[in-house]
Amino acid sequence: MSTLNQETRSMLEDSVNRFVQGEYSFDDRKRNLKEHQGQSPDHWQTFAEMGWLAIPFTEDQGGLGGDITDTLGVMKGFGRGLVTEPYLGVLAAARLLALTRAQGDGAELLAGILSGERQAVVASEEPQSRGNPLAVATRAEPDGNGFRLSGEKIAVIHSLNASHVLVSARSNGDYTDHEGIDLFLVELDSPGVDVTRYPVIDGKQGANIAFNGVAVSAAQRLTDEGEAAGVILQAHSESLLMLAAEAVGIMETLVKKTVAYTRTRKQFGVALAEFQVLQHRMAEMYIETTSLTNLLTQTAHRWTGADVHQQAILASKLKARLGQAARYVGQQAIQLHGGIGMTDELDIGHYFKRLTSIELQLGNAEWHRKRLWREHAA
Amino acid sequence: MAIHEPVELNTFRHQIREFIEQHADDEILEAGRKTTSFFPPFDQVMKWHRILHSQGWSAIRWPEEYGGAGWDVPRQLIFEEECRRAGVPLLLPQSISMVGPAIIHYGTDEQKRKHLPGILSGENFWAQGYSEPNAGSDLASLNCRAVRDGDHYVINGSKTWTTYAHHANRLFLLVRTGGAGKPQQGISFFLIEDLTDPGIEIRPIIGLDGVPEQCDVFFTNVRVPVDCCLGEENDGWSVAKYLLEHERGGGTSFATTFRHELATIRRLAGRTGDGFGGFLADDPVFQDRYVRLHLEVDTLEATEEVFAAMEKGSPESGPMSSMIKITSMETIQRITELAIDVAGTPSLALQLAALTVDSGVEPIGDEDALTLMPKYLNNRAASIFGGSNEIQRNIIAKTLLR
Ligand SMILES: Cc1cc2nc3c(=O)[nH]c(=O)nc-3n(C[C@H](O)[C@H](O)[C@H](O)COP(=O)(O)OP(=O)(O)OC[C@H]3O[C@@H](n4cnc5c(N)ncnc54)[C@H](O)[C@@H]3O)c2cc1C
Ligand SMILES: Cc1cc2nc3c(=O)[nH]c(=O)nc-3n(C[C@H](O)[C@H](O)[C@H](O)COP(=O)(O)OP(=O)(O)OC[C@H]3O[C@@H](n4cnc5c(N)ncnc54)[C@H](O)[C@@H]3O)c2cc1C
Repeated sequence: MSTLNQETRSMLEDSVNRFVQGEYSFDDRKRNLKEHQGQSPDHWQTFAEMGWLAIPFTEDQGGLGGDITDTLGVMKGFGRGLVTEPYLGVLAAARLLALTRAQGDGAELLAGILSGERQAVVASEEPQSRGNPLAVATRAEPDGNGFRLSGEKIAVIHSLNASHVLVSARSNGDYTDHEGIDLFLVELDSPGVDVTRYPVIDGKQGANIAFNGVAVSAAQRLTDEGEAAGVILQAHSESLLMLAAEAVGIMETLVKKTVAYTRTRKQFGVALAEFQVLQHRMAEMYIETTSLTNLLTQTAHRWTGADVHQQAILASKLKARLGQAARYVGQQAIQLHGGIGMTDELDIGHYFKRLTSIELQLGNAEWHRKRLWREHAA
Repeated sequence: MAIHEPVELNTFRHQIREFIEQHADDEILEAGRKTTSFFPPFDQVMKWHRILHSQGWSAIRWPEEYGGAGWDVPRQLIFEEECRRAGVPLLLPQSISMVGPAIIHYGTDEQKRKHLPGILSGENFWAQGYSEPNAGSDLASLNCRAVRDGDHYVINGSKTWTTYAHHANRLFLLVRTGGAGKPQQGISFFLIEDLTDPGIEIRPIIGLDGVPEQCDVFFTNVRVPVDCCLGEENDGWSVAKYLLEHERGGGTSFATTFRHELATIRRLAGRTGDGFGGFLADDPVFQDRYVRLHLEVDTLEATEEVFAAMEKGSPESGPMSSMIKITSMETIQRITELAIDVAGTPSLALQLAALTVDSGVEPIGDEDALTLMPKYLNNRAASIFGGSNEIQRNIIAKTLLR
């Protein structure tokens, strides 16, 4: 439950807009990608100073006392600016630490993340899981007083400065059982942790992380034995909500930029915007974008009163609808720009690539539709 | 396809298969696997072009008297099927399927003698200089200008989106040579033989996938001999349109190529989890999308067959080439969508080094998935280049309403 008042909310939103307008022009972004692989320490410092890293945490935890819906303004702004810093990934890690009421190292790490000094990542997706956070093949085998972790995690939204990874592993049950999943906090430089880093098409950093019999102590397990499904599911739903807000920011920008471009670009002696087929295409882009925006608003309103299971359903609806909208809007933005939309030089293609990346992350539209069908059928 | 094949065709198929197996080396096959747009890696595709030429198979659809293979349509298809089966790169279309047929149709004997052998052999590669910054869909408004000066023209202006101009040693070019009248009048079609002229500057453009494929080309007082003009001076529009029909209709069977893409996706779906413990290939949603696309490809093939038998430049062939352009390009766009949906997040890794032929860099994740994202990104252009699909629909509507 958020305890933020309207004033604080507006302040947060204003601060994000000022940051994106002032420090995240397309050229600034390019420079950031070149010099810092898209993860500028100065920007991260700003995130901390502005309180963005502390939004969805209680005051006890050192947070602002908001909830996850209070981050949506930040995410929309980050969508508009195509911000590449791993805000969502690091926040997801922090949320898991908060939800599990982590003690010791975990509590210290959480405090460090909120103050901007530390970073961590979440490793949930696996080669065959398609974003289902509860499809866990990675094993946690008992070993003395602790465990050994073995398995492969992929598509981790990577932070170059992360010290720790939060990893799900199964000590019991079948592949997609809710029971039997544990969550561990592991230092990234532990023996047996093998990180394959790569740049992602959207300018972010990704990683596949292999766990080759990694020894962990019982204290590194953040949840009661076999009981991690709830928090993992909740963090997954929250990340989906944040992703949707980012997508909305991107899609609104693409509509605006496409309208502006077709008004100025002339062919056959008239502005492209004179052609009815293009007008209709833009009307459709607007309908898709506004529909998703409205769905996001409604979802955010319903979020706070919803339990973990209901949030998962809300998140699936949002992500499934997002997939359809984002694909249409992104593709048409390029189409209406013509050849110039296909270049690295113009920002349009970069918005398109980020949308494409969002579409595929944390389960694509087809996977979420399938999950919704299982709900309907149940 | 090959199930009820008559014996003589089957023998033919095996001859082709054997030739490819013997001559396509690792580098050529790697280039085939790492092709992510309509334009395969240049050095390797030209190497393969020269190998095919040694057998007389570089321009199989040309009339035999000009160096074509002299095969009937079923044999042409078998050849293309075998090429796709082996995974060799598709030859670049600009020389063989675009300017070649235009020279055969409009060229003087001298021009044919001069240019066709180099196209056939792969010694020369021709880039297409049509589009300009302000003349995209409205191609006829182009204003790269050539002014007559004795036995020469002097060219000033610029072109853009010129695919592989940075690899080309020849360029076919639309320029404005006349002034008054409709914009279509006063355009000439030039065959430029020397791209090393200091007045020509070529600047590659980086694409969505992070790789340069198109170029800006700038001309400053470039002198070319008057006999570089293909067709009549100021009648280049006719040549340009004739060539576009070949470009849009495709010099090759898209259907064959697209089946190959679908097969890759099916294989990948067979080993990709659905997130609930099963495999995507067993998922009815995947199956339906796959079969629908296969049907689109089969239907495209039917249209391609009709088009192949049509005389180019006839009243029917124009709209039919537009229809092929629309259906083929939208089909491949949907195929690449299915591809990234199947590949999922592993396709998000940007792997420029692994995609480079001969880099020795191993791909991260499934090798079949390596090319799927660049293909998805690059194929967004398929509804833009060669005259956008909006323009093709305008052409068809115009014919309907005539
Ligand atoms: C079931 C039904 C109930 C109705 N109820 C009422 C009622 O209660 N009161 C009432 O007053 N009217 C009513 N109408 C009439 C309705 O408003 C008209 O049918 C409608 O405005 C379209 O006009 P039209 O039928 O003359 O078609 P037209 O205007 O001739 O249009 C034919 C087609 O051309 C398209 N078109 C026309 N202009 C353009 C343009 N500028 N750009 C692109 N496409 C265009 C249309 O979209 C349509 O597809 C009803 C119609 C129906 C079918
Ligand atoms: C990958 C790639 C390779 C290319 N290779 C070459 C090459 O080798 N040589 C070459 O000369 N060119 C090449 N082109 C250029 C290509 O032909 C042009 O991009 C194309 O003609 C569109 O022109 P444009 O980019 O200026 O877009 P615009 O003409 O500005 O069009 C922008 C949008 O407006 C729409 N539009 C324009 N006019 C109308 C209308 N009347 N009605 C409805 N909609 C309309 C278009 O369909 C498009 O969606 C290539 C382009 C790409 C992307």
